Amino acid sequence: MSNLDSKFINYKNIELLKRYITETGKIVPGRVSGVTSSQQRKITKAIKVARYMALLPYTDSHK
Amino acid sequence: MQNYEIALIINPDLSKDIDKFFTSFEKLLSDNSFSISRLDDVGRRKLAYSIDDHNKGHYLFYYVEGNPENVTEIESKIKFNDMIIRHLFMKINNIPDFESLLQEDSKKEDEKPKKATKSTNKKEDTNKDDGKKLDKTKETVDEVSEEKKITEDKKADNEKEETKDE
Repeated sequence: MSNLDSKFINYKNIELLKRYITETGKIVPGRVSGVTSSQQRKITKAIKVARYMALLPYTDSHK
Repeated sequence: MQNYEIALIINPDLSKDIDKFFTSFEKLLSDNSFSISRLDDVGRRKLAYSIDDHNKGHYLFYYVEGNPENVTEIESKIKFNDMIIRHLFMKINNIPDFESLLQEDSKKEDEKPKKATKSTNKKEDTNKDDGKKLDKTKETVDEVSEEKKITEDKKADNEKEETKDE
């Protein structure tokens, strides 16, 4: 997927990252998401940073 | 010298006094010989989960350049600043030349009339508070919407590809 430009895999690009988490907030595994392993690593890191900055949830049962 | 991105979530109750915060924080940066390259004032957003009983936060992104030795000093000052409810220092190679991908909640509401009707009262309040900011944001709306189009196009492309794969 050439459209996953490394410039756009960023923790602030939550519209993109949202597509790689499940309804319960888990990160979709690489074998399911179908992206390259290098892209999957970047996505995983970005999601974890986004979670810290409260842009994405850790789980669906917050509060 | 090293480029840094400082992400801050400011206490939403103190959003009105944001100008005071700018001056104090920019003084803190300049005291530690940091130069500010850019500031992205995203505005108030709903948090994905509550932090210290706050459901909303005012997001700021500073792009600065400075000496790595002074970072710990700034971080320790940030820790004892009650206005900042969360912060993040990140080393970056280049300062991004495009607008932040994040958007204020009120902008989303403009696009989605269903949500806007629900929270009209809130919206008016924020409009009064952030009158100055809105003027600024209006200027950037065009740019942001263009970006959104790009990302949406990308999404569409991605989805097409996904369906092909299946």
